[in-house]
Amino acid sequence: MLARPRARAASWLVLATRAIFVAAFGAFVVGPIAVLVLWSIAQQWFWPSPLPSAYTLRWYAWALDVPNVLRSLQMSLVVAVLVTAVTTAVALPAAWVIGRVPFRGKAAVRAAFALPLMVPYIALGIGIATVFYALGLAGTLGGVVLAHTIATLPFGILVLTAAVEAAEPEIEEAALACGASRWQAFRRVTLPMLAPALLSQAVYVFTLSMDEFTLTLLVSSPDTATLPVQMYAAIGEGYFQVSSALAVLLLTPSVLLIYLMVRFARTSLVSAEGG
Amino acid sequence: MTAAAGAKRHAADDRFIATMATPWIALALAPAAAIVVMLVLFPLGAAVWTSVASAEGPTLARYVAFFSTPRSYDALLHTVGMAGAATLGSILLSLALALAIRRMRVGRATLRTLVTLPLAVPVLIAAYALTLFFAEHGLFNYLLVHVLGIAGKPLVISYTWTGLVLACVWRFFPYTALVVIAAIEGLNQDIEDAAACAGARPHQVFLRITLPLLVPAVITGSVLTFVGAFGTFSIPLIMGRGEEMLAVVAYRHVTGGFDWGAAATVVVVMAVIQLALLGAYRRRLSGRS
Repeated sequence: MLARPRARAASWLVLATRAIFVAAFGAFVVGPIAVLVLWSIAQQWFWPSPLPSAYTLRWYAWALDVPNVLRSLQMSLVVAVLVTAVTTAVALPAAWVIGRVPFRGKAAVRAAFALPLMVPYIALGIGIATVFYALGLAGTLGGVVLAHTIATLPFGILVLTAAVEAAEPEIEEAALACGASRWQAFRRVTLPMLAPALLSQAVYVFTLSMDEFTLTLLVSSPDTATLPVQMYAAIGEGYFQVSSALAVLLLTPSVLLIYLMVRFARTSLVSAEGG
Repeated sequence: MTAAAGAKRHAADDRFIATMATPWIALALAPAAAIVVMLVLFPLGAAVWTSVASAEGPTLARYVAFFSTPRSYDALLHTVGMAGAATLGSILLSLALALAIRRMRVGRATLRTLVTLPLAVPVLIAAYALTLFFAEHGLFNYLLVHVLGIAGKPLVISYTWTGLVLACVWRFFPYTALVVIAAIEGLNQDIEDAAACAGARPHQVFLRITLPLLVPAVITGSVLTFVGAFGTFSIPLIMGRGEEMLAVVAYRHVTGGFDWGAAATVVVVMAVIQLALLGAYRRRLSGRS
């Protein structure tokens, strides 16, 4: 067999160029996150010094003392739990029908469910805010949950439909052939097969809701402000150590959850929230 | 699968699956459909209506104002230009990454993790982190001035159009990179080897063989990147001279004077541009197959 050209040893020049490029790329991607983390623990950081000259954890204590932070964290958690429950309850039957049952107009239904991803997020936000103000939903907990649900539903349906399509119908058919009712087959056979997908869907939707900013900013009131909205207000105050500490607190669970999901559920989805 | 088994399978389909009655299908889809209608179609319709509503009936006055006011018209140009520049930057970065990752013996997994990292960061936090990173006395300028020695003094990047481009490359290049990297890994290297054997130089192989084969992936990825950068709200809100980007212009119409009509006009223009782009992309896809 002929030696392939690519098997030739790359010259040191090529290797060095590639190493420099990869290092520069790494610095570009990690840099902003590193700066955020460094600011959150920096007691003093003067230009031109690459690193802070003294460190402290004080800003994390301050971050939790910012007015309304704990209340907005509580609001974020309540909203995320409700959004996860609503999204799962709504997405599961739709995903099951789309993934399993042949019917006319399926392509149109799929396209309609992907529609929220097709328009700019801010257009959705202004539209929803207009409607919510007219209906008196603006500023209410229900309004925030509904707004989040439209952001999470396309992803919930996508993940669950893929799982339903991957689960073999033969096993369910076997259960039906053995005399199980359709509900029993679903409850005892299909649902357990979908459990891992349901879990990763729930984690993903929960994270999306915790991180949602644009729609919440437009439809929430001070009483229903979530943590990202509160963080935006804190950024406006200009104390960047405190804002950085808040940001790191909000960032850590997202990155951790998504890392765990990619690592263990082998789902390649990443936080693709709009806005 | 034997013919008999196949027939049995179809029989099973007929008995258990295809017999699901239409009302049940409708019932299963109804909640999701209701949410899409109530929270997407209705609000978008409301935005269109708000943009043309007036005491004397429907009017296009706000659209005339949008396209004749320098502030909003400039914002449109700046937004499209910014998204275009970020897309171009993302294409170049993604091609370089794809070429590098393909020849790498070690560190592939790390590089892949780095590519997806920006998408795992909540966008508001990304916007804030990028503002600090590109600040006049930030780490990026430190690297430029004191490590690489490229610039004599710190550059003003955060709060400028260029800063927004860089921030949008950071946030949205993964959409292009993931598609292009997947495409280059699925490429049949024998074609390139054949060209090399026939005497083509490496840059000729790249320009004449590799690049043309990657064009579909580059187009798909850059549509996603462009749409992301075009519609981004949090990044210009935090780090822009925000008024210049359409999404923030719309928001300012609401916060500064509750002018929902003007805000709706801006987002309708944005939605039309984005849907036209996605429609053109879809037509291209179906035209090819």
